[in-house]
Amino acid sequence: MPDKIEIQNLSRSYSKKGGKSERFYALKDFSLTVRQGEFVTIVGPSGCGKSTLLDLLIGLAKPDEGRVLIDGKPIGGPSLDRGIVLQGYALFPWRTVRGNIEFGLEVKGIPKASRREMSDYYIKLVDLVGFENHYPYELSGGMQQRTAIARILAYDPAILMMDEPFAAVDAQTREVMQDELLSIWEKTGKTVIFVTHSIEEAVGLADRVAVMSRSPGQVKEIVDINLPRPRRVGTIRNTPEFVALFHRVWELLRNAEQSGGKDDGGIAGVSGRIHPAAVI
Amino acid sequence: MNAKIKRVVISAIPIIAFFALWEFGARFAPKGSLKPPTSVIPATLSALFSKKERLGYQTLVSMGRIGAGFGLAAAVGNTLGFLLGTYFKRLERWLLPFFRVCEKLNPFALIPIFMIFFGIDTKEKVALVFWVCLWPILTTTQEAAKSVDVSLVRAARSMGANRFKVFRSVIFPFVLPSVFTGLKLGARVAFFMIVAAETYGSSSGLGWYYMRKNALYNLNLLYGSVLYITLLAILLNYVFTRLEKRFLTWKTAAFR
Repeated sequence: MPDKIEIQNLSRSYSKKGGKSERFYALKDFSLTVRQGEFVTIVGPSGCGKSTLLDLLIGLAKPDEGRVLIDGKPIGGPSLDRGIVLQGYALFPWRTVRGNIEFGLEVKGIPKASRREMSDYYIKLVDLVGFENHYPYELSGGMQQRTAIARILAYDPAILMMDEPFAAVDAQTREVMQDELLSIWEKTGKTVIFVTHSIEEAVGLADRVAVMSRSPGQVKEIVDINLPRPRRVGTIRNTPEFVALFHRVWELLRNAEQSGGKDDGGIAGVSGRIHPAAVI
Repeated sequence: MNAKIKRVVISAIPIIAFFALWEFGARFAPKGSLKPPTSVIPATLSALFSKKERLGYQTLVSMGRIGAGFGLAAAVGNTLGFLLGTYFKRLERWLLPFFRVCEKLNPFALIPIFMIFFGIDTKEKVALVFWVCLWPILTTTQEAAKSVDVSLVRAARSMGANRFKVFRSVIFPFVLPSVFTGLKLGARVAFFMIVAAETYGSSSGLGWYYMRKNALYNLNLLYGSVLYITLLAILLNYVFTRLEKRFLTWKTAAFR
């Protein structure tokens, strides 16, 4: 598969509070290449610059140095070839499920009749039939999440980015959502960059896991996940292969945490007292 | 439904009690100080439609002035509020203390000054109504525009929305309920202002009518016009409360 996204030596800094010339590097020299149709997850300690990275990839922020190439071309601003599911969903509260899903289509300038047809399709895909005319506040967390995903899928971006999309839903819903995401991904063949806190989620979903270190945010190591496809996150996590990979990522993160200065307990399963093997 | 009727009945009790007390009290009050509602209300109703009293006409005059001043304030206040709260935040920070001072100026004290600049006819009344309506409308819209949920703007921008689309589909619907809140507050002060403004240097309108009944010592219509003006204010308030609610549904529910 050809390279879809090439992230080359990306740096982004912010001025520190108080200090005039001192800069804080959220990202420094960040490089990562993602192949067409690949599912890459990014895990790292909190404050390692994951959100900054996504902002740069969408084009909502500009890097100090480095560049992002998509299909070999540098990106400008935000564009409909990339979609992001933001933390906390960011659904428009005054729009119904259908209205939310059609937003990107409106931006694309698609006429009303086709918009409706397309939103119907995606409402079915994420299993929200019967809730088309509900407002976000009338939905459960999982349904809001599905709406947010459908909203992005609807305008058919080649690249799907997700910023801890399942952090706010309960464990069971999360598992269902993960499997749904995998099946959608298998059906559509999109390239996915998925940021998460959870090692289990990172290993369970990905083709490759990029482990980040903190201050400055960099790729510490990339772990290949050679687990069979199609997968179900709920069943695969009991296999010895999964446990081994989980442990590998866990160790990398622990080192990242230690080398990255003060521990603020960012990672699920790392800073806790419980050994990861006991969790799974 | 039953609960609703019950609530209406219960909240009607103090109002009924008030009128009963008024009716009763009028019989014991010193002569020439209070008229009972049974004589005030019929007198006012007939004044409303009589050719001689022309209370209906005076109402239209006042409402016209309110409409002009309020409409102008709504246009200016909302436009400024949107602009200052979104794209001109630095200008807004700079102007804010000045606005706060303007807001605190006692508008009744401004009446003579406005007379110097605008004369004593309709222009001055409209200008006063405009002035008092402007501040609540401007402030409410501006505050709401400032507090637009950043993550919604990010979401829209990430989907390739340009500035116009962000404004039309995110900022505008986000602020709209507050626009109606501002209009409601504006309408309320507009009513206070027009009566006060028409009390001085005027020959028409509800305020003038009220003062003339006072001068003529027509107790029935003096009390009647106070009651009538109150009813009009309630009606106007009701209209804007309904509008506000209509557009506020998602907001009250979403940020419960």
